[in-house]
Amino acid sequence: MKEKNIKIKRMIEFIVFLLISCILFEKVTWIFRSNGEEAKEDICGFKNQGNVDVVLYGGSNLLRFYQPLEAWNQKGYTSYNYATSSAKADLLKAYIEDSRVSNEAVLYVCDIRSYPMITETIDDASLRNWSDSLPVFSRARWNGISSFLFSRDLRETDVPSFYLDIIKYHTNTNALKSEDQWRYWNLNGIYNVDKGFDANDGHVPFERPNVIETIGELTSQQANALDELLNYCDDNNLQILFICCPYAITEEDWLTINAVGKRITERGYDFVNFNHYYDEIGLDFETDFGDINHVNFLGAEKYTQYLMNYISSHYELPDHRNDEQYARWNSDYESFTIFQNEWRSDTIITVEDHLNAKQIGESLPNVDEFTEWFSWIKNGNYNVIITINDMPDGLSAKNPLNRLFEKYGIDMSMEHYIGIWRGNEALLTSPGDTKIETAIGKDGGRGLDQCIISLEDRQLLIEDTNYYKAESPMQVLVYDRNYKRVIDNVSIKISSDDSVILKRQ
Amino acid sequence: MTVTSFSFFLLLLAGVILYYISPKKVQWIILLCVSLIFYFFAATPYTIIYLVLSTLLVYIAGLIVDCEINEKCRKGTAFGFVAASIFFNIMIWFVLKGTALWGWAFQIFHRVIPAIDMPQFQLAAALGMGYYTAQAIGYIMDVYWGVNKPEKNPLKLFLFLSFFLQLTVGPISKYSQLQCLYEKHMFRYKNLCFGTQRIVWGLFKKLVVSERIAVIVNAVWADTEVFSGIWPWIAVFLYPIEIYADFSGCVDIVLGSAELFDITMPENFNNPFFSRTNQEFWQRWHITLGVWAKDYVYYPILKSKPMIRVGKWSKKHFSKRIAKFIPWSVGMGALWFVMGAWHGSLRHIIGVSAWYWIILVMSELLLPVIDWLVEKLQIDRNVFSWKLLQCCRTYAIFSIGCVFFVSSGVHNAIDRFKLLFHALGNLNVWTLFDETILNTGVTWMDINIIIIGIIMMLIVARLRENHTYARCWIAKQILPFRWGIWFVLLGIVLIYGYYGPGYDASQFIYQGF
Repeated sequence: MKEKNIKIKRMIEFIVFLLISCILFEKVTWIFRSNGEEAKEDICGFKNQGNVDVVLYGGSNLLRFYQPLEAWNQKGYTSYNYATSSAKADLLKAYIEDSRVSNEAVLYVCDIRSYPMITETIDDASLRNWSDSLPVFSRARWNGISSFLFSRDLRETDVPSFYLDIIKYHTNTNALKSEDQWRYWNLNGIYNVDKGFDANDGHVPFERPNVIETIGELTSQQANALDELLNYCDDNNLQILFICCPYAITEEDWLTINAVGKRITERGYDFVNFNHYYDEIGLDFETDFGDINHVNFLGAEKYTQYLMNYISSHYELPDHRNDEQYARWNSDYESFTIFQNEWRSDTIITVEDHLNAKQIGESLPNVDEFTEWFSWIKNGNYNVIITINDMPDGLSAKNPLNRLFEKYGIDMSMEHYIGIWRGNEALLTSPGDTKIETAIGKDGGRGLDQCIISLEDRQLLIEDTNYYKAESPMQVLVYDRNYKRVIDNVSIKISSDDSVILKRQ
Repeated sequence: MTVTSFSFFLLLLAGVILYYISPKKVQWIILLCVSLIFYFFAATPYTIIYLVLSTLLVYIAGLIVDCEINEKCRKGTAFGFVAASIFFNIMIWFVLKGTALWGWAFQIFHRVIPAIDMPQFQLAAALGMGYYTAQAIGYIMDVYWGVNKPEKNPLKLFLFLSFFLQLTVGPISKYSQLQCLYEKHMFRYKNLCFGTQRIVWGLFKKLVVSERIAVIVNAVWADTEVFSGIWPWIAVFLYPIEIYADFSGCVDIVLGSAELFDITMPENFNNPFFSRTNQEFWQRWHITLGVWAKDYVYYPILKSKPMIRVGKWSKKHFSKRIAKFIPWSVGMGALWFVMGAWHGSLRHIIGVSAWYWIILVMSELLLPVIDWLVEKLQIDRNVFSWKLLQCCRTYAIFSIGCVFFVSSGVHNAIDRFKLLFHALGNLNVWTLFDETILNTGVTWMDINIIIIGIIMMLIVARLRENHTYARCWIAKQILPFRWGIWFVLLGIVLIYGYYGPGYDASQFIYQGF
């Protein structure tokens, strides 16, 4: 009897020790996690929102696109973007599973835009942004990680560090200093006022994509992921809407999205590809995008308006605006409007600045007077590329070209000069050298343009076009990096009467 | 797969669960399967053929010895087979693992006769070859001497040689010590606790302390121009702590893991830095190798007929002390040669064999002089300071021997000794207190962790001296205290351990043998 009691005592002791160890392990992991504050707040914050009527799942295509609080203000239903940046579509099932642990929604909305991005390789961020924002021992997390990892090529992958992410983050001892890290000790205290919206206040103009109706082939990985998701929806009788947000969609993406859409509708679910509705939404590709994948705040306002109208007109959703239980959503909206105003004005300023630069750029080739021309090219939106093959000598102190030499730090004692300037910032200068190569332009999601300058090879290559003026001792090329185009390309000469001549032929 | 890897612990967990839920009769088969899985992932799989070959050699020789005991075979046959099995075992090890030894010999031949060239072949050695070869030799000699009966089941013998926990860094066990492999084991809570605790302690020593010290030692030896003056000496005196924390840490993981299976393996360390003499040091450091060399090299040589004749001859011609000294020093020479050669390179033969043999012989010869001096100077041998001085002396001797260990070759070691000698004239102690140490790649936090780690190791060593094992002492404490200790230790390993992406803490210094 006594021995039995000791055994029971030992067992209890062991279980308690194990439990405390797990809790401490979990807490320590939270302090060290550094997968981004935004993701952690969005995912952890979901659990503390109360009852959410519409949950939207996806990646940054939701975070930057849809404003749940605007829908609350106008339609009265509660919604939340359960999304993380770089999310891959084969995680959607895991997202839904995890969200349903704490909340059964009336409508589930899945953005399927990331189906074309499903690949064999493992991109850390696409999984970690989500998995490292959940409690370590959460079942949905372990299921999600397993289904994500074991459908991919695991060579070179440190698999355990995805499950027990302290393996990855434990060196992040600087995190201990940050109060933001420590607040995750109490997950119940994490509340997300924005409901998963995060604005993009940048601006990159794009050309409006053409609509393609052709249906492509899904890879087996894409098809399996989609079938798994649809089976899950079947098994759980979910009211679900599949969407694809509008973006500068490529031809390849069209084929995949069309194939995904076809499969979804064949299984009896609703699917709306908003790339068919640019005009209805009112999207202007010149002003409403922050980068290739995301609308800016102006685009988000238009898209949110259209999507919430669509949702409220197609589904029966409750209006909680006068419900006292949802009072906090009203105060959240009030706080949100302050940010909305800031984002709106910041985006407008950026867009106007770019449009203005574009307009100047269009007039620039008509300006022949050097001083005026020089004052125009100093615009912060332009890159200025200067090549000097033969340094002028005997330049008088009054010559206006001195201003250009001064601004770009050109040393006249050097024989050669090559320089690429972004506004006032030197991207790359190479006095005395004859060859440089660097990236120019603005990364709107399509990568940076390459610029190669070689005086020896008589080249000034931007992408594949050679802008080199062979006969010119000094050449200045002006490039609008927002619109990714050369707006002026001049040879500069000094005449016998000490004036500066701009030559464009 | 190494013993600090996640996959190892996963295998261990699965192995332990399977071990206890299986019928007791097949527990040893579970161990054999786990060992094979470990081998498959930790080594080049095909090299298991060497392990199988070694097992077959000693198995057949064992059966023949048994046959002789039963008087069914001719006398002398057994001896021939035992000798042959030992010879072939050594040859397999020598060809695959002793490349540095015969490679060196070939280089000399090549200089004399250019026609003789180094044979070029790429064969991977088996995992833990030094360890299991020693065990195989020990087994067959014990059978021959009648210390233990030969194993009739070849699979059981194969388990004895291939037991996965000893393949990484030993210990070198005798067959009689691992009989528990074949016994039936009940799950015991105490084993689970003590085993896990020992594993955590081993991880602490390896991942927290050793890996950090390694950063300093490696950086100093990598750039002795930047780290001149006192720094090479710092590296010399830090290395023993690094290798101790590394080697004993891994042994702790191994012994702790074995404890989970209710298997007790022989200890390999017993606070070596508390040793006051060099002989005592080697009774506390890599104990199982020392015991093996004594049992299978030293004593057989002393008991051999030529050696007995030498002893008798010495007694007639020299004083009693010298008469004892002569066979002893010859036996020790052989023992140290084998200990050095076991490591598989010339630098180890010099750094371990020659260095320690000379030191031990000198100590023995100078013992009366030192005794006389101590008496004349009226030194109390029982005071702390005298004991400390003796410990420091032993530590310093070991540290200097380790220069061979840490070097890439004999020439490199000689260069390092030259550097150390020159550095004596320029010991700028001030560089210890400026920020030179930060150039090695460690931060102040790392240095604090090293200091705290060494203090913790000292406390544990002290507790072991007084209470057998620190964890036995901790187990007697009140619950919050003992839990507090284990939570803190777990936390330190978790946060400050050198593991995960970006670290390669997988290689143990003694894994190479």
